[in-house]
Amino acid sequence: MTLNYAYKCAIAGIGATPFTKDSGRTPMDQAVEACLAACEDAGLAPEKVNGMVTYSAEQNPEIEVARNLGIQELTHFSMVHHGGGAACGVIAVACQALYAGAADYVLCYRAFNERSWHRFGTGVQDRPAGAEAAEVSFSWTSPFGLVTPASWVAMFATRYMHEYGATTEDFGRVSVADRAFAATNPRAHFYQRPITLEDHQNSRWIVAPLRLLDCCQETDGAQALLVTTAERAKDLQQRPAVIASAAQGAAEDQHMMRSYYRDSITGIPEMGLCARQLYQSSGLTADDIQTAIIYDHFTPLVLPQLEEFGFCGRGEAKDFIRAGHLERGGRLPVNTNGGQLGEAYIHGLNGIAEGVRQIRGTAVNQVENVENVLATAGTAVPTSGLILSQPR
Amino acid sequence: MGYAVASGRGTLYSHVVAHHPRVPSFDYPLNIGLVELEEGVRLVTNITDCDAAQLKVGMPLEAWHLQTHEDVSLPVFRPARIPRNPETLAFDQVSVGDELPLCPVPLTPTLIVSTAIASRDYQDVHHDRDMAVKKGSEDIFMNILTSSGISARYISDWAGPDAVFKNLKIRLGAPNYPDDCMTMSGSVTAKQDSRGEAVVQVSFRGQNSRGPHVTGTAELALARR
Repeated sequence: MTLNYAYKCAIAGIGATPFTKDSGRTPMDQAVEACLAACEDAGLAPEKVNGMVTYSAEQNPEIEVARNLGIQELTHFSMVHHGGGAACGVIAVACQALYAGAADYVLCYRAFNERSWHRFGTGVQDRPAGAEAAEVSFSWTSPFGLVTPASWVAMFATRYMHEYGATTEDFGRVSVADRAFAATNPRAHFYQRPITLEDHQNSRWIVAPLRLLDCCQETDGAQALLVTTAERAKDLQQRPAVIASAAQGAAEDQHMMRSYYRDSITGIPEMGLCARQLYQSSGLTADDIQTAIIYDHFTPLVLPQLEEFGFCGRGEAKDFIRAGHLERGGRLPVNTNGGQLGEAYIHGLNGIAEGVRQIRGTAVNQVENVENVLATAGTAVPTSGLILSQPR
Repeated sequence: MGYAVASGRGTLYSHVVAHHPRVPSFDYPLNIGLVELEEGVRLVTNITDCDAAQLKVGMPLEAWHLQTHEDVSLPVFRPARIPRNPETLAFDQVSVGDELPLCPVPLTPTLIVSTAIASRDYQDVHHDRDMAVKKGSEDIFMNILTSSGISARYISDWAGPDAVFKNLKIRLGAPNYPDDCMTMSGSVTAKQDSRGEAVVQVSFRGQNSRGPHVTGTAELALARR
């Protein structure tokens, strides 16, 4: 099996609403604004769009968004499963549709009032028990109070600390690095509000070993990306961010956020599966990546992602981080928009937009000489990843 | 496919302590563990009868059943009772800072009543709930001799049968009422090798759901190797 759409497609437009905590608008209104902005950024009339891809937990059906955008016909529309784990998966599916000729221009979007309406971080505490498989799986964990995303991730974190000697300070360093980038990004919620490691260590427990400053935000807002073939992208007005590859992965004995029953729970095999596909199909390696968007819903799972993509050895992410490699000027500046801890939590799509800006050379925290950018999607769920490259 | 009846023994594979958000029906901070059963299966469960600070990956655990509703119970785990040490520790084997393994003491009405009677303490508050309530107590409660005896037993189970108690000092706090659990913990706080005797000091604590029931120190003479 080899992905055959490597370098065939590109992200040609990006658009977002302001990221807020209380938008005072419907998610639909924001979805439309972001999609229109992505088309305008590309210089494409919205009526030309004939494909739409979003991902689960999205409450704005693509036909509703399409109608509001004035799109006449859709020849590809799909919903990728597993929430934030699908952030790069929507791009993979868009590539598949484009390369198969099922669409010419595809909008990928995410819009929600995750802070002011449904608070995502509260987890499944109010979800009624049921007999269907998706509900049944929670009956193994919810009766014991393991009901929030933070708690699901914390279980991996404790074991990782035990096996590799990582500390909560190593998790904190991820947060500090993100917030340093957010501090100089006017779009970020935490613009001009950097933190110190001491601030991190003094922040309150959410689910030990996770503190408040290990957890991403909840955000109101929307982000859209316009994807088309690399050929068509040349005729649009922005420098295309060529999709070197985009891949999805679900690994053996995969569970939703609680794959606790594998021989080892300190790696992320589904992310390793994405890494193998991305590197194999693109011909690139970790050495070819200058900057990365590493999904940071919770800091501890940034560490094994660095390992799965080969930026450091197994268990060595703590040393990589302590050496400052994620920071400005480091070997691999990560989440230069401030990440989901610092900019906004739009389930990874805002990070991919930052990857596009790094390729264009327009990021507020621009890394020098960027050839390839890695972006990853939500971890502990079935996940995805992609690599963006300069046009050839 | 088949099934095996689990022994109820396991070890702690990973753990978290939930603080926020607080969900109705749970007490916080809430210990949640990933327990590896000795049969090889892992399960998410609660770790009861120990503090968050006492959770350690690898600690031995034993199952018990928490009755949550009339017809529902949940398998939860607490620190496993330590087996009695058949060999007595030598003075050189013990270092200041050594921690004694945790040991839970389930506080059944039978334990409270029978130990009071066995220690010839016929005070009604230790066996007659009506009289205990009339005298202002919530329920019957454990008598002092038993608390002292359990403390000594806990320490000698660790130190071994030939350790000699030089003294045992205890202070009582929250009562040991029935249907609770007191978990013993302790550590070596001093060593002295003089006056012809090699003595170690152990500080210990028995904690129930209301707080520390018993705190104290013991001094034990141990043989040099």
